[in-house]
Amino acid sequence: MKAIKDTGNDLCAAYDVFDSVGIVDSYFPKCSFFTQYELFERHVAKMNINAIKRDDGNCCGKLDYVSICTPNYLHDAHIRFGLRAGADIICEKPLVLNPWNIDALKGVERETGKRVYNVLQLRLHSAIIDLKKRVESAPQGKIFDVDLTYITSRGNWYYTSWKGDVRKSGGVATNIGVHFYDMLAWVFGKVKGNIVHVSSHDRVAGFLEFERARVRYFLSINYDTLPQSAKEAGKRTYRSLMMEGSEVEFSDGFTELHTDSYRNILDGNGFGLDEARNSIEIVHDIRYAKPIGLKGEYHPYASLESTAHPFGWL
Amino acid sequence: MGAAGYIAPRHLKAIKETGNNLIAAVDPFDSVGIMDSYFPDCSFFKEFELFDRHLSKLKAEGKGTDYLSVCSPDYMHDAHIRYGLKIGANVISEKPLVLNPWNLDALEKAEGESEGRVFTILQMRYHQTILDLKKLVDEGPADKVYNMDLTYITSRGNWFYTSWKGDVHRSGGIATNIGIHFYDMLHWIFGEVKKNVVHVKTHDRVAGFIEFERARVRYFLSINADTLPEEILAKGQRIFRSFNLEGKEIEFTDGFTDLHTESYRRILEGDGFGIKEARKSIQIVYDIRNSVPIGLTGDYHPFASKKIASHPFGW
Repeated sequence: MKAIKDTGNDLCAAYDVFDSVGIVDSYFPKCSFFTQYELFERHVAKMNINAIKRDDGNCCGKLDYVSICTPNYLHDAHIRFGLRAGADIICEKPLVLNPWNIDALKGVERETGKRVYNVLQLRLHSAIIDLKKRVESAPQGKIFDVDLTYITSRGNWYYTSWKGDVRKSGGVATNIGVHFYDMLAWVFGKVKGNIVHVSSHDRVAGFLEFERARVRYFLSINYDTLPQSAKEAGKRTYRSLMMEGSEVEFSDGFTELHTDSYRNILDGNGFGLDEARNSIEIVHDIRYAKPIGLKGEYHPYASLESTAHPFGWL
Repeated sequence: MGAAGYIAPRHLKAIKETGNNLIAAVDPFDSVGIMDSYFPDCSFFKEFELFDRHLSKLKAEGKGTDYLSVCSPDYMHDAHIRYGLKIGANVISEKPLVLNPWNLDALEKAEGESEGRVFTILQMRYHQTILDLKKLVDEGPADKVYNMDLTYITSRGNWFYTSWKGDVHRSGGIATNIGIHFYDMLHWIFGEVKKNVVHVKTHDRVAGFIEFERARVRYFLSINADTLPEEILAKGQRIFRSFNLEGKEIEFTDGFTDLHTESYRRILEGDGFGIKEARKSIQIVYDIRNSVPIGLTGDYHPFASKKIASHPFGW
């Protein structure tokens, strides 16, 4: 909503099954709101034939864009809805859960003549842009050693919500990691190897070989896996990107990235279906890989003691 | 009960700041990441039955629930309060405690039959400006009857009418949903209601006159931005709050942030507001909800004559 507002656009209609959406008033008090998909769809259809009149006389003609921030497993359906409604799409990551969904969406793009854009905001982060430059200006044959650690603690509610259901969220790598994998592929090039060492309800550790880097990663939503220093500082999140033994600092500078993403899309420089493919392939392969255990080049945290699912699920 | 809504974070904060622990929460909606900021170890359920099962298992282990906090939609408060009493807990419920006065009679009975007590949040009574005002009235001449104009406009977009808040059967309407704490405050300061007249009442506003023992109050409550005074609109603001006592403005825009924590603190000290204290304001809003507006006759609030708006959905 902030990005739509900050880029000078108007949100005409919104849909959510839950109705605690007072936040809309901070951005678009005139926005129409629906808790049933059919009524939203009807409204959009009426907008498209200029049958919606708003008292302030603004907007609500034919739809230009549909923004999608629904649970991951619904993205595909909502993208299709927007395309068929004659709009371009701005969709949160992961765009879809499986690579073949992208192929099918390309068909709908062709059919409708509309475009799908993905929010891949790390590519707009100045520290990541600098990193990409550093890699590109390094000698061609240079392959970097990288350790990526991302721990963002989540309570039990996570497992009750759709996020804790691998069929809906895609699991930890997809749900909290997709933007990191996208960033890695963007900076270091094509994937040459993808090995998973440990994969459970609350963490995933593996090794990814890119053209220009060998990356050991560890992603977790379990507080117990935080380094002692973070726990002592009262933190619940820990993020570290080590390249060749030195830390790449990128903890700040996130606040405006959604607005920047929207601005780029509106300028015709958005990231489309093809740009999303690498990271969707990576997370899909991780989701279906058989963890090989603590063999080969694994992230040091991969050996942390595993934890039982809080609900006793396997 | 109710963890994903607007008011839940204030309860989470109050529970934490009073040194307590939230062991379980329930909400049909699962966007409750806010819990991690307060109680990451809290159990969370989307289905009431599973929540109930969890609490009953804890009880069997000797870990019964001490307090149950209710921040669900207004029309569910009664059911959730009863549930809390049934499991032997004390209940802290958001206002309005219930929608109708007779619900309080039945709740009193349920309270009497249980080990728990029912408390409500009437946080305006802890606001320093309101305390000062009450002092002024209490210490003034006993027969002095004040003239007061209360204006509260808090603009809401179309979503309000899509949500449960826009359904009078579930929220009680404007007076109940956005006004209950004001009516409670007025009664608390100015005493018994002698007369309750409604001039205008629609989906987006209510204007009326209430005569209390110590005050004659003209009020106007609205969620329609078009009813904002010109100077507020010009500033791009969407909220207007004015207490005008005898022609003098009472300033009370600040000092709201910690009142939920203060409410919890008092409840835990055995000094909370119960069913008895909630009764007067429930009666006032019930009477307003069920009265027939008399139109622009008698002593009405100046804003009562503002142009009526049609319902955004044509209802």
